[in-house]
Amino acid sequence: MKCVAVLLTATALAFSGPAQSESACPWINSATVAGASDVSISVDVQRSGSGSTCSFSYHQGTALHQVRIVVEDAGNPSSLPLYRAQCATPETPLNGIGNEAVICRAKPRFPYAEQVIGRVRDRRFVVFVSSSSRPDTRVIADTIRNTATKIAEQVAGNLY
Amino acid sequence: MIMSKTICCLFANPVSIAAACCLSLGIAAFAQDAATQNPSNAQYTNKIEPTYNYRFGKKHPFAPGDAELAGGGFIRPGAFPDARYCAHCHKEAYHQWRHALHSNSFRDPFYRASVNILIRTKGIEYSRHCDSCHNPVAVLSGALTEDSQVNRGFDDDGLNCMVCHSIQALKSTSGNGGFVMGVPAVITDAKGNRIPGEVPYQEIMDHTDRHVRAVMQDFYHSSTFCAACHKADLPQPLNDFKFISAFSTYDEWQNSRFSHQSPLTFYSGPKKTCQDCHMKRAPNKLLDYGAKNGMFASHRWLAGNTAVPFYYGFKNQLDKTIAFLQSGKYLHIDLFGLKPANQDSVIGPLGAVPFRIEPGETLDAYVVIQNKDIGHSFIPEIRDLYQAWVEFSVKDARGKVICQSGFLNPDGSLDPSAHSFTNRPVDKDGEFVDNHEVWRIHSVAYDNTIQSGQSTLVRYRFRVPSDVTGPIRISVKVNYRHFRKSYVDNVFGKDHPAYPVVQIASAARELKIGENQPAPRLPNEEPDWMRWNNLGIAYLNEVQYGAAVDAFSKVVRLRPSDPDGYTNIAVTEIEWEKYASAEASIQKALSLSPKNARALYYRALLERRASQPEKELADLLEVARQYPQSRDARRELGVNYYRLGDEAKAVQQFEALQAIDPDDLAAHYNLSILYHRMGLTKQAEAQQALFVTEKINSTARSLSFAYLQNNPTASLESIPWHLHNLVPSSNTTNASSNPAGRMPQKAAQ
Repeated sequence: MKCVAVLLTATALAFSGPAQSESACPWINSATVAGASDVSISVDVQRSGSGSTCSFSYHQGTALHQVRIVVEDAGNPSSLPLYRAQCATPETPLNGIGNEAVICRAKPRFPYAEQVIGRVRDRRFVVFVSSSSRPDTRVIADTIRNTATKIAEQVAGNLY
Repeated sequence: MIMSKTICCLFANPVSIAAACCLSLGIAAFAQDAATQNPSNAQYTNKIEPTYNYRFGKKHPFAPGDAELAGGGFIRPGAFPDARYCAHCHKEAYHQWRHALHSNSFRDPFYRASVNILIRTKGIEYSRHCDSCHNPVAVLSGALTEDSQVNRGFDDDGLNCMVCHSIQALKSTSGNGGFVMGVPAVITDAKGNRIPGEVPYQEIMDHTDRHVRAVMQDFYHSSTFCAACHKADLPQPLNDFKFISAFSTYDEWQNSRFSHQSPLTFYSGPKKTCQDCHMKRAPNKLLDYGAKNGMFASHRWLAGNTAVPFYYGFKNQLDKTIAFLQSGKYLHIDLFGLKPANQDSVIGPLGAVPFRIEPGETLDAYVVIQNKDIGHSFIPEIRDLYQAWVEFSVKDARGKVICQSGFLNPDGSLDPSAHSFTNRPVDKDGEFVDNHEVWRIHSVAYDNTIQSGQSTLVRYRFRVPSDVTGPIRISVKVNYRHFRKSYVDNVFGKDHPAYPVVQIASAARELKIGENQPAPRLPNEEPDWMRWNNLGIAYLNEVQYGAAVDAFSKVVRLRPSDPDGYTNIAVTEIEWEKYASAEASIQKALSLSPKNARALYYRALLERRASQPEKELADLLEVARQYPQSRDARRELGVNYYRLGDEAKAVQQFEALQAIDPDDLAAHYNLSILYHRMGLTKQAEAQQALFVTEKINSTARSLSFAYLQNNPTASLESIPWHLHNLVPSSNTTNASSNPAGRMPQKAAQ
């Protein structure tokens, strides 16, 4: 729970002023997040100033998957340390996403989560992907990581 | 398969999971899948249609691009077998493709930065124009509409294997994605019907003939296949203005010596297709059943793109691209001659004639740069973003720079007065169009490209120091960078690493102060006749007719048995409107080679002026017999028949011309008249409309003038015959003003 609180604080720091709720995420659609168009997925989009947060959640079988995408002004120095503090493993650079991007396993809210922190010009983006399913195999862990990477690439692509 | 998709797609990792799922199922399951994967299936189309933006009309769902889907409707992205599926048997192809521009055609930031501007300013539906070639799956699946819910997981595969290998026909050579996409299939049934989607690998191994039938077409080996995307125009629906030709790499090839389809080239040589240069066969290192005798056609498509492999860290692709660019044969630099600034005659070819240099003397260096072995122009596409330029320097014996042009500034930007092979598109206000916002282009202020086989002459004025004692060394290089720094700045901001600069060609010569005697030919130096010929071609391109005739006359003296030298003189004199002497030259050429198609073509033009239509017809027919795909011969034959009153044959020729180049203005103009006379009103109106929109708008030209007026350096570059004056302005004698590096520049370097 402490991790959740820190992350929410980071989001709050990023967006001052009243937030507006929308149904469509400007950086990626639900089908791409879920990897299929026939998955029931809930979406919440909060916009504030030049920033936005898109939150997706959907079930696959008994597993709950959540994806959160934060896009904000990269000039905001206070939120980056908070995002980086969420990393449970050393950050690994990701080639070919934005100006730069790193991925790490995030501190577990659920049994498994991955986080990408990146930048396109003066915009920072954070992609947080979690799954309630236990990463019983390396393949599952890799696919969650792969999903976070692919979503990050989509977000970065739309930020250029 | 539907079941397995549901399991596998969520966190899709097709290599490890989907392949395993697929392999566990039999052919019966895939046969069932075939029905659901039919691209014309109503279910998917019905899902897309209600919210799809048909801005350009229901009949043109993919406009402003020209792509077409066999059977109509939309196609499910998953109908295209994944590239990783193909990789099972085509590992070499997959690994090459993954690092090639085709697989990164959509996702790369240099493309996204530009197309995103289009989406934000005009709407996502306009991006179908660009994505017809950059992301055809997005276009054909109906994803390019507002609030699309199509899964874009395919974006990072760009042009995947089954995009190209599912194309069943080509619409024309107009480009803009002018292909017809068939049912993506890796195998056919025994009757040749395409079985949609993936099948077990064993099924392919058991019926390799059916696999080949499904994924290969004869036209895949032809340059016309490449024309579908390596030619583009900006249509009125995109720019709300009029048709503007964007780039025409295919046409450039078709007009080059490599196509063997044009008689009008300055040089001849072996026939080469696009694939011959960009898909060369090489030994495959990985398993690939597509290899023949251990050799596999490269799916790297090595060309000029260094930025994308640099960005993604594809070192092997980058190294091979640089090696391709530096293979040494594409461009040739000839430091041809020197001209004392106070004299009229050029001393040259350097090395072949004696000359003297005095301290304190002001000299013009004549540098001839030939597009020697490229099957298209240099630079062929995206000239507003790619950057190629001449680096010229004069150094003393100690290596101290006396003068230079084409250097990089400390911030990585290019010397604004460099001679560069670029263009400058301008918008409706006469402002430079940055970021490749092609939909804003109304005119092009200048275009300094070199066509295949042709040459340009770059002149530099410099002053020999009065206190110089030892020899001076002149160096010339052609450098290339993908992209210009200001664009990379726009994409990433200024905090990006320096992108690679590749030296494509170079030449250098040491000159003594005092007497210089003839010297042995330098390595890679062309024979003297060719040096004069290239100079003549450059003069011709720069509208220096007298000098061109003089240069070609030197060629004739050195190669009296070669008809081309005489024809070159005639070509120049025809442009110069000296028809009588042109005829003498052409007759000389034909006396040496009576069936020479190039000479016959130009004689026909002279015969037209002399009102000898029957002779003209005979010559043009012979040209067309030798070169049936010659657009020039077809055009002039159409005009000839028209003047002879044989309208049916005129129509035949202009229609043949349109089959070669659907955008030929003469064909539109004449066919509109001829169809009208034949009572074919609708066809006549269509041709008339095409002529009106494709004709260059003379009013738009004034926008170029506005730009050039405000950009003196660009203005100088726009003049075919110009001088790069590297003499400090206080020392200038008889020089046109071009103080190096002093001109303010719009951000285009």
